[in-house]
Amino acid sequence: MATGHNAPQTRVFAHIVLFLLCAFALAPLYWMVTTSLKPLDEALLVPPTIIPDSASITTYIDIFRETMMARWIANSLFVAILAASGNVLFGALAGYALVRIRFRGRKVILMLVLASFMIPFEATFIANYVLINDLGWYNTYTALIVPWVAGAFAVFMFRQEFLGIPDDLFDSAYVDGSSEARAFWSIGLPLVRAAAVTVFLITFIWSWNALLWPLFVTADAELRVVQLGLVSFQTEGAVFINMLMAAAVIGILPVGILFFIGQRFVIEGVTQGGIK
Amino acid sequence: MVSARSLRTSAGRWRRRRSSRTSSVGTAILFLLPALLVIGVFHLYGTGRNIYLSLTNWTLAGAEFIGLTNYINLIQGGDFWNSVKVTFFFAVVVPITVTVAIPVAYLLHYVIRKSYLYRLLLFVPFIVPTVATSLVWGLVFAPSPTGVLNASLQPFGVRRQSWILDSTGVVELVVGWFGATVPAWAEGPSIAMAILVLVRFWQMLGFTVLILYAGMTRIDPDLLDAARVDGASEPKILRRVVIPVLSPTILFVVVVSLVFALREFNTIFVLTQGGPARTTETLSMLMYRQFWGDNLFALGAATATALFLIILVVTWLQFRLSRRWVHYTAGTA
Repeated sequence: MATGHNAPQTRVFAHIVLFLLCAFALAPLYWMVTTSLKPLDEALLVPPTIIPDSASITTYIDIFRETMMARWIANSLFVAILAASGNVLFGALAGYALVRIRFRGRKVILMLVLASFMIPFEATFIANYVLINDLGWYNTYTALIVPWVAGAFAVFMFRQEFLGIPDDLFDSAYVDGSSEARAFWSIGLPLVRAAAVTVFLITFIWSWNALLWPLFVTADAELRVVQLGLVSFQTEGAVFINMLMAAAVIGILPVGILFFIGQRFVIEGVTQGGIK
Repeated sequence: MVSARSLRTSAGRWRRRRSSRTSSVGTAILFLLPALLVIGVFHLYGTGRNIYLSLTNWTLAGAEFIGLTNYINLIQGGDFWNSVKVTFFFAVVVPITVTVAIPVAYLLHYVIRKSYLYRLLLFVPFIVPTVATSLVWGLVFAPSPTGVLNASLQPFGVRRQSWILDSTGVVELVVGWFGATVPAWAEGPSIAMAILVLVRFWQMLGFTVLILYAGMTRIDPDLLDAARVDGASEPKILRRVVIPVLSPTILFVVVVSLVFALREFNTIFVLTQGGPARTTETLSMLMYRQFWGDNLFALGAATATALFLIILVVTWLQFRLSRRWVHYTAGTA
């Protein structure tokens, strides 16, 4: 066959198209990194240099020396790790109970969880802001973490995982007469560890990327998360574009590292859960 | 959202009677409590309370029930309808992205042998924080002479453009090249909005491709081979065989991306803050301005409820309309 899906010219065409698309996907990130390595006068050059003439990491050192970036990263890490761990633990517990324990009202609870899936979080922020104020949590880490330590995504993901596990695997625990908590911890949880990694990574990334909720419930610079810190860079130092880009690189780095370590889990999770 | 695979898992679930002892309801409650507390308080109660607040004249001084007054004010004012229009302008990115993503996913799945690296690289823009990448795009389309595009185009004699500060409508611009003018309602999305759509396309392409690719792996290969034996060309196979069988996945990705697009805040907040001249003030930006900028708390709550209702209606409509073009079961492996 001269044409068709495995003809050489078709494949060359496919590689060209995909190469161009990947270049489009990565060009802004390339620009971000190279600009962050340029000194300010080179960063402002017209026309811009594509490969930096003089590259150095002094801008990065300046950021950590002159701004609270280290604090903001620590804040984001603290918030994201707790939120992601909560989603794994509470999601797994709830998913386990919804599958393994028979009780009245199981269907109703599942429906409620699924219903909350359909609600855009943004529609709850004003009401939740009022609640946070009433609880005295405004401008605290508690406000950044507690509303996000569990969610429908994790519960549903774990429920689906537990549904796929045959009963036999739990029989030994029941013969032993061990408690439901023990069966969950020693048998259930290890069996769903792949889903646990996926849930952790995805909820971590959500938490790390959050901007609107932190805007609502925090005020102090000490409590800023990374995304808020980045926005403050934009407004406070718009001229120093090399610094702005260095800050953006720093804001991406932890998620970038996590993504490349757990890429298959993230891709798997997004494909199955289909959710950002 | 529920994917095709997870639905199948739940349908074919373990049928045998559970061997568990009659565990106490107490254990179940204990296991479910943390998750239900968070979901119940912050999502379900939050939604209910938001609706209640939107029916009051709530200020810092207190709240009094005033019925639908906020909604009437919203509907009678110009800002709300402008934001509805702008929100849907932004959502145009969804059909654009899906149209590009279908052939790309086809190339990745049926033409290239080892496509993992391509899939991974295309996916990167989706995973990196939108605030950070929006900052770069802000530099690219900066109106200043040192903005990346302005600086790069200057040697070619292109005049400095205002890019993200340009409120000229796209239709207005094109018609203007021919020396004609259009009435205000027909100006179309502003150039600033067109840039937001481009940035959104950049963010979402890899995600869309990935979901469609996953859908293609579930298509029975014999179906395509049969079409090839019949001498069908590749574009024809894509149109007549792959797309119909893939339609549930296409519906899924359209619904999910549309919900994301209608809600989007970060990209717009960083790039335009709703300007210029409110041509990028989507409903979520409007809610933010009403609440934080204008201190119209209850009105902001009404806008939030309206956004919630619009998302519900759009999602429901898609499922209704999908009966005409989505084919379930046929041809999946």
